Amino acid sequence: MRRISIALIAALALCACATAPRNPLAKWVPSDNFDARRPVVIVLHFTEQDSVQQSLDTLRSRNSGGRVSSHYLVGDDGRIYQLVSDQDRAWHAGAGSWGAITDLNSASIGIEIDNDGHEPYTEAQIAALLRLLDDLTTRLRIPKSQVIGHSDLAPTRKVDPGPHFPWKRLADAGYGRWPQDTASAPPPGFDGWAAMAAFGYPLADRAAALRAFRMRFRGRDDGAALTPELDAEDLRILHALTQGP
Amino acid sequence: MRRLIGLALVAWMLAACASIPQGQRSALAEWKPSPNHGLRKPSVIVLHYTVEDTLEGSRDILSDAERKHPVSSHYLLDRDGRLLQLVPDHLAAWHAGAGRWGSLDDLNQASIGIEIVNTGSEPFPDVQIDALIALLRDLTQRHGISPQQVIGHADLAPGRKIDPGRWFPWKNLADAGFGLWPRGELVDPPPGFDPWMAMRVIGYSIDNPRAALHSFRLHFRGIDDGDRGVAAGAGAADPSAARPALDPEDLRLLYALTR
Repeated sequence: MRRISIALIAALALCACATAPRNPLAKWVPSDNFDARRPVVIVLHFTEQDSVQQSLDTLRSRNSGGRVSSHYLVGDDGRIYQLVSDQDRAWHAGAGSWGAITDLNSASIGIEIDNDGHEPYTEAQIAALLRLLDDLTTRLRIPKSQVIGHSDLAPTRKVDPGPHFPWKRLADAGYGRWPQDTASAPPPGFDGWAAMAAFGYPLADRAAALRAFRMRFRGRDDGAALTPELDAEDLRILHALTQGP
Repeated sequence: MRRLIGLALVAWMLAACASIPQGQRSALAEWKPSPNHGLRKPSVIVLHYTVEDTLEGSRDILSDAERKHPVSSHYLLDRDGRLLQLVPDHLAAWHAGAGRWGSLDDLNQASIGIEIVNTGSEPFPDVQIDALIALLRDLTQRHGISPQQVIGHADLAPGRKIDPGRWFPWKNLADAGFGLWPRGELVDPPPGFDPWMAMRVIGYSIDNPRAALHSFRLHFRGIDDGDRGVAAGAGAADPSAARPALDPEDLRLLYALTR
């Protein structure tokens, strides 16, 4: 009996390991040379809710509007909560793309920041976020430059983390891409839209992409009705972001 | 004794399981688990040739954990269409190595790798390509991968890799709906068109422009002039200075691919 139960446990353990659907088109000849898939980008959100408790409820339940989650939630007091293991795919990004990354949930760590969308972020919160970014980029070997906002990958649908988010401060700490002040002026004929696409923005709706770009790099929200025309400052920033390698 | 062996076996298996999720939690955070999650999925498919002449020889290499640099792929496809799977789709195989494709700078994490048995100096038989297309159909449908996101090893690692090589029938894949391919009649780009920015929009890293052009021509023109730009790129102070001349066909293709 004991032997049988041990065999059973062993079988269960194997099953748990092999949730791996094997492809019926192929003969299975396992190799030991693999790892768990690691995330390669970090996506920042605001909760657009009033309290951490409300967000914890939303991110850990079946919502009427569909189930959502994030790996982390940062309270306005600087407390950090983890809701989903780093190795798992949380449901925070939704439809969108960032360059060649077309399934952001699969490729990312999602961080929700407790903020109603209209208020400044607290000092304790940003300090905690910077500590978390340091931990994640070190432990998961995510390049420090690979930190983006939800609105960057889904400009037609999302505006978070919004124009109040201190991207410059993150950049000063080494996170996210930021234009060098020393970059030369763009040459005549510089194609800013191509630069925006090369940088990662989806351009199906140029006005939406430009709105997201300006929130991120200029701290301003021009609203949904802005004219999709790049001004001199947009071009300067885009050139600086895409200069060199 | 038998029980001990049994227990040891279970412990070993659990350990094997547990070794997969490394560093899954942050010491900085309070753990408040949510049931709303799933498995990470691939979003790109990378094609390789084996160089190795046989299925068995290739399988040995891809399963050898003792090599100095162990390698693997999810799938291995023989000349006759026979298909082996070595790594489950939801795990990262070790096929891409250093490289970049657009915003992706660690391709193993986000991709499925398919090794195709081919020495690099021979055409690919139709039956092999048919089987590849059937696999691509399966993978893109099952994982929701965009059919355009099928690239070659050389595309993500220009200068270092040339597979699946100049014999690979990208056009046949495009006819079946997979990979990037120019549509319609090719026309000259308008004045002011920036071909190197277009190269980046497609996904190529232009850190070494000559290498990028070599990979681009392999993929879209079936040309291998042997100049991978390895010498030219190394130590070049000004990257723009190392940009080689593009011919009119390069320009038309780049314009068509990014228009």
